[in-house]
Amino acid sequence: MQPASVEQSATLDREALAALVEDIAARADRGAFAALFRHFAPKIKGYLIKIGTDRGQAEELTQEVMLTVWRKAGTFDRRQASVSTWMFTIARNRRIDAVRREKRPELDPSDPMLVPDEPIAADERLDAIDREARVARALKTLPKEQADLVREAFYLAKSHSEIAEETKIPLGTVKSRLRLAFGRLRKALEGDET
Amino acid sequence: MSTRNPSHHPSAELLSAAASGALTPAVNRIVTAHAALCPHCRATTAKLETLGGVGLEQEASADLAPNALENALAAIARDPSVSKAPYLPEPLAALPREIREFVAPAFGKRAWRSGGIGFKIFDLDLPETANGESFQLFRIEPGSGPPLHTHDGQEFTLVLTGAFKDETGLYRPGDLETGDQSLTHRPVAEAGEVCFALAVTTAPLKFKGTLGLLQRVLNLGK
Repeated sequence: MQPASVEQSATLDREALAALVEDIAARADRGAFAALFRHFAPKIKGYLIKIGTDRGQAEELTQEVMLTVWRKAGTFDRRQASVSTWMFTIARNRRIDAVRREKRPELDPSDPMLVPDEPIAADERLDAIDREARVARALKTLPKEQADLVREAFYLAKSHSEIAEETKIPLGTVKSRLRLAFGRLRKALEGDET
Repeated sequence: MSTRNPSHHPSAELLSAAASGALTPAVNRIVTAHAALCPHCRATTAKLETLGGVGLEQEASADLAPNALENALAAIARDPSVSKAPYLPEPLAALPREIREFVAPAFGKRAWRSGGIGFKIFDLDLPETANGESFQLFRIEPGSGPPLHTHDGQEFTLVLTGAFKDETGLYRPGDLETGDQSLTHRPVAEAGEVCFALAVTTAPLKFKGTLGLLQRVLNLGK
């Protein structure tokens, strides 16, 4: 298969997934819920385990996340978030409230700004599904070590010092690689790719 | 609600910690509440969350319990289809949904308590994992405010309606004040409207078990 058509089918999948959530919102469609469950529940459990939740609790929290998805389907707006981003935020919040952590994240106020500090002038009308597709593509163009760091920091919520400890990469290198990666992702995030 | 954009924002670091899920329950709530009132931080957060969304999309599937889907279908069948919108007094009823969701569950469970003249406190719900954190709603009459104070850990205050002023500046709807132990302040509500605000304090983590015993014996962690 051509890479272009692979990407195209992934984009279609994102549209189809959005339609499933909209069907749940519009008419409490249990078939749509079952399809969404089959696609996402195993991934949500995978995420929860990867971020350190024990297996039993991960199974339980996955059920709670999916029930929240059922209840909150009406708040889903494909212009604001793709389904996987929306579900990520639901799973993230559920885990924050359900899992007691032994240590608090250390917020290092001297960290370099990873977030744009001026108002983002991106085209807000741009479909969030397009944004996710662009970000997924941009991540694939990053050197593996940069893409891995972005994943650890922004998906698995690890602090820079935790990443440094686990990967045995010096903290300064972790920070400079993340900065480089973010510089390259910024265009995809803000919508002026190419 | 005011159409003015907030001028006091969470730090870039706080915002990226919120997007990735690195915050504790109470701090996560107040940063989320700020984003609900701040178009700029909302847009930034949505973009950062896309990185988490791509992570989830590409996540390897974990095996679920064999009856997981059946259980989920049973759970949604039991779930009342219309959830009752909880009652909130004006002007709180006009706040964005994200904020009402945090505030409403506590209403009807307990009452406001007095924090001094013209200053009332309402304790909001937090999960038990919110170890040592507090999450409160303040109601401050114009010209009044909490007494001069300082705190362990960090303090976050988000104005919902009205405004207050303290040693560090003027805070209006959507503005988030962030302080640590070095901040000693006496916020006073501005004339005109009653000021409603969300307030979060974190406290130093206390260890349990053997470490906790050591901590108490050695008086560490102060």
